[in-house]
Amino acid sequence: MKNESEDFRERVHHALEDQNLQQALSVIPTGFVTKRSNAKAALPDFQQLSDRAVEIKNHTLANLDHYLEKFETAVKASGGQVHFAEKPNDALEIIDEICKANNAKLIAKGKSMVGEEIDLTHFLEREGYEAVETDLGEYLIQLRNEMPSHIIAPAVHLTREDIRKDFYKAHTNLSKERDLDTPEDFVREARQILREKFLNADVGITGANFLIAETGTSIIVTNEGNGDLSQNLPKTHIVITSLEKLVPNFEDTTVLLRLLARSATGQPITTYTTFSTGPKRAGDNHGPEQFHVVILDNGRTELLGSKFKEMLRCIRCGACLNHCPVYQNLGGHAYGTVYPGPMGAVLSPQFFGAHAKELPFASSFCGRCNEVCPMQIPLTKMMRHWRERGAHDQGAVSNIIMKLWAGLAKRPRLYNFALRVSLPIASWAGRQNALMRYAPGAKSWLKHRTLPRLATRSFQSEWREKMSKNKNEQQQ
Amino acid sequence: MSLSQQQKSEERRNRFMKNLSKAVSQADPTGKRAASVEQLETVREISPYQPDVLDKDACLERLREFLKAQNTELYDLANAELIPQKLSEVLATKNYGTEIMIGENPFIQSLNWQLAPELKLVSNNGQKVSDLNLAMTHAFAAAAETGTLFFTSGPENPTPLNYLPTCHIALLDAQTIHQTYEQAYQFGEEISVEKQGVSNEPLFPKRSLNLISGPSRTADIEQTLTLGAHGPLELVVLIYNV
Ligand code: SF4
Repeated sequence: MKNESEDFRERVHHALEDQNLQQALSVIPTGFVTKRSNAKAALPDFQQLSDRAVEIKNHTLANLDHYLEKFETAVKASGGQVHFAEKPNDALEIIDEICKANNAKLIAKGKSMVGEEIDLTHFLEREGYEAVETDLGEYLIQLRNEMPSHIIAPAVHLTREDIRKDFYKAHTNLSKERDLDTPEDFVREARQILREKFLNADVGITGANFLIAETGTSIIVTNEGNGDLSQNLPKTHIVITSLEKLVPNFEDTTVLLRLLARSATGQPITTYTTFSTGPKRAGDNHGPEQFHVVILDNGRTELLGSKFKEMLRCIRCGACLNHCPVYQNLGGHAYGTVYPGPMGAVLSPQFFGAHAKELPFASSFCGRCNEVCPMQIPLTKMMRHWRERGAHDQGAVSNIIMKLWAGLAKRPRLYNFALRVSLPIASWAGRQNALMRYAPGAKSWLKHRTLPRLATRSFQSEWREKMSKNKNEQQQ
Repeated sequence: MSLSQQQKSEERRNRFMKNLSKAVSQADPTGKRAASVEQLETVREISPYQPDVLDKDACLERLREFLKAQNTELYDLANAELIPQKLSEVLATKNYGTEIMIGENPFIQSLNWQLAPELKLVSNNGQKVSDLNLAMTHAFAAAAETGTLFFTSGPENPTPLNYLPTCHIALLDAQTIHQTYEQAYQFGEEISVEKQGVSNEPLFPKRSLNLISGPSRTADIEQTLTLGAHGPLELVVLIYNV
């Protein structure tokens, strides 16, 4: 996916001004947040499950090479193939080769965040395939050529008005007089259009929420059933996924499953949870003839030995996005990468490099994300690590400022003098809010906030005065 | 795959694995790196999930409660012989006609369909269908904990029949209702081992294991719950041997 993080500030500004977007985002606190909290309350073992989930992932990550080999052996034993992709380009090439070998024209695609990470659908379109997103949310944004704005609800930024316009424009073979008012109208129309795609697709591509090493099984969770139709009807099924999705066995998977839907949408379980093990068996009269699993690294192994290793526990539930005040106000597009919110602020700089370097600053450090993360990932701590790294890398301006400050702090007399001179000026300027708008970088900051009043005197001078007053009182 | 492609894919694999092994040995993220493969295979550090145990009735109750909350229509039957008549009654209240698609399912075929003469069973043996009002499959088990039915692929219950119809009819033997996912899975393993003796069935899990907990839904239009996204608009479950 095109990475647009470089003009982060500008996009923040636009997001805050966009009334339509603000209206669409207003449902997040009442929807996801409330439902998650109810679902968690209804499962007394939630905390124990979360503790176990952390252990399972830590254990798997500590032995990831073993589990990956085990997974590969099991997939082969069930008649499938595993492909290894170090970089996005490797994954794209592998998928292209499989599609070509199958003479594929039409490809039905289920939802996959790794697919988004490597911008798979656009790649396939460029290569001349007809690639159709079949998850309704993904389909909606494909019609608009946008990137998803949420990892589990890709079209959460759209209103009914937006979708109506897109449907009238895209589905030209349907009557122009038709009603498109209720959610049912839209869903029925999309169902009708996409049904034909499922039935005629040559290749079905899905993601995976988990991979079971013991049985070589890949798992998807959906509510729509699009993933199942995408992978059951075409002749070839390709799973695009990444290596940290591995878990040892079924019993480990269920622990994570119990946390995933509850944390994501507040459902006890998604409507469909599907375990796929290899292609069609002898005697089966349905199912794909080929089963391919493409495993992407893209910098994940580097994380294993870094300060960010805990991020590899992430199960992509989206709870940290839903509870983040920054995300709630901006939506996902302002982040400019396919992984937004707190998890994105940690992952995107690793996956997309310099383009996403500002994202770790998109946080108020309120810590809600840490609290709601079922995998107990210390998200704010890791954003801080990126910030520190950023400060090192940025060099120039911030380094000079830090050095100046350090120089002053080591010389108390000079420090006091500097404060005495600068404080009254800063304080006066602070009171002239209008004037502050001309300070560099302050305009956009002040647009949605007011400045706190600066004290006219430093803490030190007040402290000195207080102490001498106390002394006087005691003497009296 | 051509020879050069094969070579390339081998190279890719080896490089990938080498990187990973190196990273894993250097990282040892939690000090939990197993000393040996044997240790990994024999010592399970992680104890299985143990919720408070529910008895049979409580399991059935919980299954019902969750399935209903997940927009599913449920009927209890004392035994399997009552299925045709009940189905006839239920379908008379709906607008889906009387033609029901099934797999090559000896159990369903052995029921006395004379009792519901207007219903017509159509066998699916591999054909893809676009418009399908009614299909019926048999769940091999259920997990009460979240009202979840377990289906497995094969000619008896073709997987697409769970997803294509507007109305999916699921049969479930009350004796196969378990409390947890793990128990339902284990039950699946047991019956497939039993079956293997006679019919040379592939071992569990088969190609596809499908956990279904209600009709298809989406909230992609303004976060409003809407049923019948791509899969069934309705899920009707007939529980027999209650
Ligand atoms: S970081 Fe935690 S809360 Fe955020 S998506 Fe990942 S698992 Fe969920």
